[in-house]
Amino acid sequence: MTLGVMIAISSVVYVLEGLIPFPVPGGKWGFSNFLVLYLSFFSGITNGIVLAISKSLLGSILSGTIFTPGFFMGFLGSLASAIAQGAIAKFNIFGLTGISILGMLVNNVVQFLVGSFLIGSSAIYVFLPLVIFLGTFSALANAYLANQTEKIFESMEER
Amino acid sequence: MDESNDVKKARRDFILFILVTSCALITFFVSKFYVPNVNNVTNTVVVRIAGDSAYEFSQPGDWQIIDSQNEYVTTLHYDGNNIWVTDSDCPDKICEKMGKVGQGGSIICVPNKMIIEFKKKETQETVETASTTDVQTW
Repeated sequence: MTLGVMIAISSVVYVLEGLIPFPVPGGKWGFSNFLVLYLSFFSGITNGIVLAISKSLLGSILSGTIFTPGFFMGFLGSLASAIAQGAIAKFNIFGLTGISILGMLVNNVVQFLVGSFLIGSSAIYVFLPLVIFLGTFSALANAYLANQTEKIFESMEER
Repeated sequence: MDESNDVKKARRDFILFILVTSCALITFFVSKFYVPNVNNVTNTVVVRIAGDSAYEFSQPGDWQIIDSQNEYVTTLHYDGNNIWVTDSDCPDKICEKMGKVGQGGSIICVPNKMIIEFKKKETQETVETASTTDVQTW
């Protein structure tokens, strides 16, 4: 699967996951990050960063939210998460699940930092614990999906 | 060797999962059941856009919020105790879904960089500083 196909899949998931209800107003489940996790873990930090930037840009163009405050929160969160996941993977301490959880933490903390800077208030942090709690389950799902993607590639290479 | 490393990683992943979920849950419940000290809050509503105070009012009724570019942002209803958004210009209508908010609470609208909250009372220290400054100016 080329990087282009991964960008397309992630962008479509980015748009579609916005339709799935999330308990926190304005929040998203973050399933579009599974290929960012996959690339950061298996292919290296650069490809992860390229995918994080591309899917945020393309996904927000498709959903009509480009250059809105929400876009900057998502874009910088996803970018920071790709860098963190790629860097942590190099230390060989955590598996795919642990790296996915740490990536989710970085993603959400950066998003809330950007959000609080944009609105000029720290009141937004009241949602952070719930977002992180729900995010751990998205992180588990993303780790599972990234692992399945790797299995698909392995079986394709064997053929 | 590799398998043992994988087991170690899996154990660390599990500990991390438990640690993150429990910390998030504890913080969530502490903040959920924390009752804000309403004695420190006035009944004046403050609307801040991008950190700057745009509106302040304490009279019940419908309030239309217009930004610095003279564009309509939102309509608020204040009944003297609670405030809520009855109409908003953004497509998500997230602030409308946030419902009624009383003293100590806040309504956050990220697309409009807006926060609606009750004004805090000036602390004794602030009042004393202000009065000292006033005397000196006078």
